[in-house]
Amino acid sequence: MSKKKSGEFSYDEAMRELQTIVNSLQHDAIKIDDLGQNVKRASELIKLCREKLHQTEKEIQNLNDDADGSE
Amino acid sequence: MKTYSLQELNEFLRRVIALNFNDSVWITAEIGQIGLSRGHYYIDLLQKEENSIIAQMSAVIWATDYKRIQRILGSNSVMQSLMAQDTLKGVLAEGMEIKLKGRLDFHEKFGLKIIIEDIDATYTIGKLELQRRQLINDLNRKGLLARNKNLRLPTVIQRIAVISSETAAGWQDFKNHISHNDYQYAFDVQFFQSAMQGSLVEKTMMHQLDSIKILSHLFDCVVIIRGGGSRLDLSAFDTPTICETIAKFPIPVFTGIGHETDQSVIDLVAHSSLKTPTAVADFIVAHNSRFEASLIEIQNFINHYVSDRLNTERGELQLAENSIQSAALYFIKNQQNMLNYIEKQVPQYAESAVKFENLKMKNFINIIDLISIEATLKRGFSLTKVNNKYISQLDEIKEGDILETQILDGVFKSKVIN
Repeated sequence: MSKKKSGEFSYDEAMRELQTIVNSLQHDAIKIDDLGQNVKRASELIKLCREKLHQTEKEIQNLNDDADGSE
Repeated sequence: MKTYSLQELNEFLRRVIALNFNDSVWITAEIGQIGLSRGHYYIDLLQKEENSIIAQMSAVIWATDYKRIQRILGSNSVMQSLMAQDTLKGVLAEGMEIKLKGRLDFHEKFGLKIIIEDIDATYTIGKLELQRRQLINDLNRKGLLARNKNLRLPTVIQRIAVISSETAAGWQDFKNHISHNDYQYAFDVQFFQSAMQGSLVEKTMMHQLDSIKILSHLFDCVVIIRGGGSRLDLSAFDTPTICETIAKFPIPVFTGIGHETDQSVIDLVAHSSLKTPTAVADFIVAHNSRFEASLIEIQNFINHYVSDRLNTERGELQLAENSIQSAALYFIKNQQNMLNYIEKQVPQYAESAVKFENLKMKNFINIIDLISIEATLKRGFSLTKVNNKYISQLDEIKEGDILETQILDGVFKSKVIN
C-alpha cells in the first residue's frame, strides 16, 4: 500500500473512525455532551469518504478510457 | 699368372658382356635416384629386401629414347585414361618400381650401366595399385579408414591450415575462391609449404603435418591442395606414414588434390575429399552457410515465439485490466453502500441516545416530584418548627414550647403541654 503523508486524507483511517463512532453509538458509549460532536464528525467523514470513492471511481474509469484510446 | 692392365681387364669384361648380353632384357627394379642432364635421365636402380639394398646398378635413358618412349606411351589410349598427364614422368620417380627393357653396356672408362630402351608403365601402375590396395587393407585393419571422417566438423570453419605448394595453381584457386565467397565470410588461412610431387612429398608433408598437429588447437581443419597432375604423381601421397597421420589427425583433413577418376588413399582417409581445390573452398563456405541458415531459422522462430507470447500476454493483461476495474468499481459500490448505511444509522442511534436521555430526565422529574414538600403535605404529612427550626425528634422540644406546624394550606401554632 502507498504510504500516506501525515495530514493527508486516508480512507482507511476515516472508515475506522466511522466504525468506532457507530460502535460507540450502538453501545451507548458516547456522552450526550459529545453526541452532537460525534454525529457531526460522522457526517463529515461520510462526506469525505464519498468524495474519495467518487474520485477513485472516476480515476479508474479514466485509466480504462486512456488504455482503450491508446490501442 | 699373367698380369693385366686395368684397360685390358675392362676390355675383356666389355667383350664378355657384349657376347653374353647381346640382346636386351626385361628387368624389374626400384628407382633409387634420378637425375636429368641435357635431356638424358640418369637413374640409380636398386632392389630392396626388408628395407636393405640387395642389388644396385646405374641406368640411363638417352634423350632420344626418352622422347620415343614418351610418344609411344602418350599414344596409348588405355594409358591416357589412367594418367591424366605425362605417364613417363610419373613412372620415372624416386621410389617407383619399374619394369624396363634394357641393354647391358660396359664402358672401359664409365663402367657398367643399363641403357634403357623401353619401359612397361603398366607394371608400375599395377605395382602401385597393389601397394595401394595393400595400404587400404592395412588402414582398414587398423580401423583408420573412417577415423578422421568420424571427427565432428566445427560448427563454423574459419581457421584453415593449407598444405600446398606456393606455385601450385590449385592453391591460388583455393585462396581466391575462399576469400571472395558469395557470403563474404572471413577466413584465416595459414599456408604450409610442402612439395606436392616428387620424392620430397613425404618428408615435407610429414614435417608440415607435424607442425600443424602441434598447433591443432588454432585450426578448424587442414586442407591439402594440389592442382591437377597424373595419378602416378598422386601415389606420392599414398604412403603408410602420410595416410596414418592424416587418419589419426586431431582435426578434420580435407583434400582437394585435383583428379577426376580414382581416389587416392589420402582421399579415403581424409574427412572429406573433394575433386578440386575450388570444390574444397565451396564445401567450407557451404558448411558455414548452413550454420548461418540455422541461425536465421532460430531467429525466425524466436521472432514468432516472441510475437505469439506478446499477444497472449497482451490478452491476459487486458483481461486482468478489465477484471481489476470491475472489481475496484464493485469495491467502491460496497463502500458506498456501507457509507449509506452508516449515514442512516448514525442519526438513528444519536436520536435514540437523546430519547433515552430524555426518558431518564423524566424519571428524575417524577422522582423529584414524588419527594417534593408540597406532594408530602398533600398526602397529609406536616412540618413542625420550634424557634424556626424543623424538628424530627421528641428531645428537641420541651414543655411550654410554641410549635409552628405547616400543613398544605397554612400554618398553625400550638403549645406543648406534656
